[in-house]
Amino acid sequence: MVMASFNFTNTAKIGLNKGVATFVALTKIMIPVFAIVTFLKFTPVLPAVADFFKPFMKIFGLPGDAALALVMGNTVNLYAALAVMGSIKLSGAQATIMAVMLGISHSLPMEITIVQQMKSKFITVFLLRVLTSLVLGIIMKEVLIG
Amino acid sequence: MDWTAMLEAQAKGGFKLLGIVFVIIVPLMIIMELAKAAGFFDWLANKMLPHTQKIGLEKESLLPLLAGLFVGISYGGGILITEAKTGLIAKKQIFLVVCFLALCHAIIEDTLLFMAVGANALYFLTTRFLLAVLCTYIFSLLINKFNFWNLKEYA
Repeated sequence: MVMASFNFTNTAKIGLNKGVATFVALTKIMIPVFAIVTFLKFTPVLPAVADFFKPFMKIFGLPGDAALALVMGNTVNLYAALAVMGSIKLSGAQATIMAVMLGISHSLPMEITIVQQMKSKFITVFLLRVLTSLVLGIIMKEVLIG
Repeated sequence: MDWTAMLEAQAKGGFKLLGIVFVIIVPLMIIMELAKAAGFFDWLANKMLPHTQKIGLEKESLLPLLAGLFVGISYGGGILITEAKTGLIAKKQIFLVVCFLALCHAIIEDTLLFMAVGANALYFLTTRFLLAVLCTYIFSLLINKFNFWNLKEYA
């Protein structure tokens, strides 16, 4: 490894400027989405959506209550999903299946809005994450539970 | 609906979110700038390139990729936004990094979180990583073959 000689203070200043610029860019995107998602959390919308998905949880070898964790994770964030996961009884295999599904697809409003700034189409990233999450949920169920 | 509690959650949570982002992104950008200037990034990129090029990822995509993979998609995405403004990064690279990071990011934080609720960390990490590698590879092939959305151009 070759260490190039450089001006430490100047380089750090460039980094500082870039850091602040990136912070400002992220703030503009994140705050509106955060406000909307927080509002949604206070309405009965998310539990209603979860109720709709309850019967489908069998496909992934999960109890019906897992639907709320998946809905919270995909809309709000992983911490909201984990709070729900902590309140339902899951086997190790079930926890792993949920982890894989939520790991692939979570915080969709926030994360897709951020990557959309690079002109990546919202629908492409949305479908990529949701569909692969569902497919891997089924695969993991077959592998871990059978 | 409790409007006072909702507005309070928006205000408090919003400030907390901004605080966390600031405390992470500013030092991260300073460290990355220093790592680039010191030649550390070139050294690391040369080690990684033979592997990442197999799935279509070139050198200019490695910095946002590493930041997103280890720190989080918001930060990798933030760096991508800043880098994209320089016009030196190809659209294909932006698309592939977004594809990879969308499926696999913040691997340290996320893995620790799910270990805490009893998930198997090895399954969690490998499925996510392999899925991201596979999808990035497939998209890279598709872009080369069909050039959809003119992704071969420069941003």
